[in-house]
Amino acid sequence: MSLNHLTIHEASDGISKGTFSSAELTQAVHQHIARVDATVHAYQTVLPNARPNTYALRANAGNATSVLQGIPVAIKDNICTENVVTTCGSRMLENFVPPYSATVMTRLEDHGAVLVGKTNMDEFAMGSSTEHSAFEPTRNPWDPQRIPGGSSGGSAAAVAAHECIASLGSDTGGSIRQPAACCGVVGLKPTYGRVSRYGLVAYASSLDQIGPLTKDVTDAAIMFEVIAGYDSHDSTSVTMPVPEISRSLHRDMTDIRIGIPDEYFGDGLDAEVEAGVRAALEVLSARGAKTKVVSLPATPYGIATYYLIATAEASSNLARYDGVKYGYRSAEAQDLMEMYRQTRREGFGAEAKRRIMLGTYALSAGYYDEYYGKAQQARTMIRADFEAAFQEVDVIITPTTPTPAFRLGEKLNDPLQMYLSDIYTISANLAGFPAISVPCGFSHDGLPIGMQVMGRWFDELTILQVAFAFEQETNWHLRRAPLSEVGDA
Amino acid sequence: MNISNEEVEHVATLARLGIDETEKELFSLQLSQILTSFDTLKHLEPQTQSSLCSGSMYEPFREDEIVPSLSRDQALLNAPEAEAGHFQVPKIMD
Repeated sequence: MSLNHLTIHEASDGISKGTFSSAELTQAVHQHIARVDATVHAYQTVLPNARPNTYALRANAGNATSVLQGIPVAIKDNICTENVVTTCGSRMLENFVPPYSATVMTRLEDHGAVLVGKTNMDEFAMGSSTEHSAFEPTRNPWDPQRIPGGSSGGSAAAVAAHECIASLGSDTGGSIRQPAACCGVVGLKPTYGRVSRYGLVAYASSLDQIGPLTKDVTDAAIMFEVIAGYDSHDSTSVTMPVPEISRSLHRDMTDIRIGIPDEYFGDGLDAEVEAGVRAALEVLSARGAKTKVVSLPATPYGIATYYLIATAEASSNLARYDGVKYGYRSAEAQDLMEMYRQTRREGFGAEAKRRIMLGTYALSAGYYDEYYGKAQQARTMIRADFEAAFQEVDVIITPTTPTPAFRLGEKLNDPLQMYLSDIYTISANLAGFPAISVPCGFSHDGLPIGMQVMGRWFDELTILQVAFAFEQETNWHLRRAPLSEVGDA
Repeated sequence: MNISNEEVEHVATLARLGIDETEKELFSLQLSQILTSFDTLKHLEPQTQSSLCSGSMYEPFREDEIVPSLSRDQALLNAPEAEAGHFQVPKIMD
């Protein structure tokens, strides 16, 4: 067992008892990155460990009582880090060095976390495989021929390969939970409004949310507590107090009612994934939880609704990349309009262009009512389904993904097939409630399977308690990916 | 739903996105396929009530006070071209 294999709570324990130092822990993480990241490519940027950087210096002056004090973390490359290049997986921002840090980064620093590096991602968080990174795809630490999921594929792979202790990702349609499931780690998308998006490069503003990817549920609770809470820089963040979840994870399951929606166990669901989730439900039933079938009839509208709303918002958000204020500018153009067109042609990759086109079309004159308007209507119906279901149950449990991680290249040229990877995760974004993915088994060829636990708005506590109860009964989360063991003495 | 090359060109102009002939063909095909698969939404009955928000929404207000923000130099730090404290762009009139 190397130090880089530790969880946050184990590492914090070791540091506070003086068993090892933060420097030794960080060194172990850097050594492992040097061993495996040429294969995994979880990182877009690794900060040098040899000389003190501003983050390490600030970390030393951080909150000595925090459980995050001295813990090496990785941050998705669409979260701004002051003076550290933030590419968003795009040529457009290849050389962008933010003059400020995102609120989540500042909060981690204030708690003494050490920034190890920035993780690879699908360009502008648009994708489910991290193959749409403008730089290089990330590979799954369980099988390098497989995708790690996306768009936070680098953050998930970094945790699964133990190239960091924990990481942050962002989730617009499943981009934390789907890669967490593919890589066999825990991924939490908090309620919309729980975590400030100040400093997160915007993709679809009514859906985007930042959350942790971790080695276990306790770590997810620890990270959540640090990053959650009101921020005056993000007017969608709420003032509601953040509960101390990490100290309240133990809960009797006998008063928990679990909803199981038939719509999430139908056509297209891989038999091994279904078996894994059904077995997990048995584990929770054995702990005393009650299960009940719930109906979510608007589910078939999910994919269309998500891809119309997300692309419409993206087409607007990505209008800012015009070659004027920051980012790439084409050297070709002679006039302003040509500069816009050439800059965006050369700076954006195929999927970003496709989504800008789709979103612009959906918002254009003559089609707005037919597409965007209908999508908003369906979004209201999806939300109403969940509001009704949460009257009857405390959590809803589903698979996180329809299949285990697919092969690199398998869906790259078929955008519709790629979009279907998000089928079980998009509702939480469209309706805004919290959801977590936890490892619940493996396929016959050794690929992780994820279970999704969804909960009421602002009730992260209950979904984490249920996930924790499951984790206590199983040891799926303790299995290590082959690439996390390379070089382990 | 069939999106013609002309429509693709029009949308690309709206989006200020330069595309070549190959991309035009590809987007025509792919957008047609994607939008056809979204036809499920057309079956929705017209409804009076629609929502534009998610989650539990409220409007936080703050005092209208000037607070520190980026300096001019910081704001220009990532500009592709800057001159005399301004962003520089190609000539927009003769």
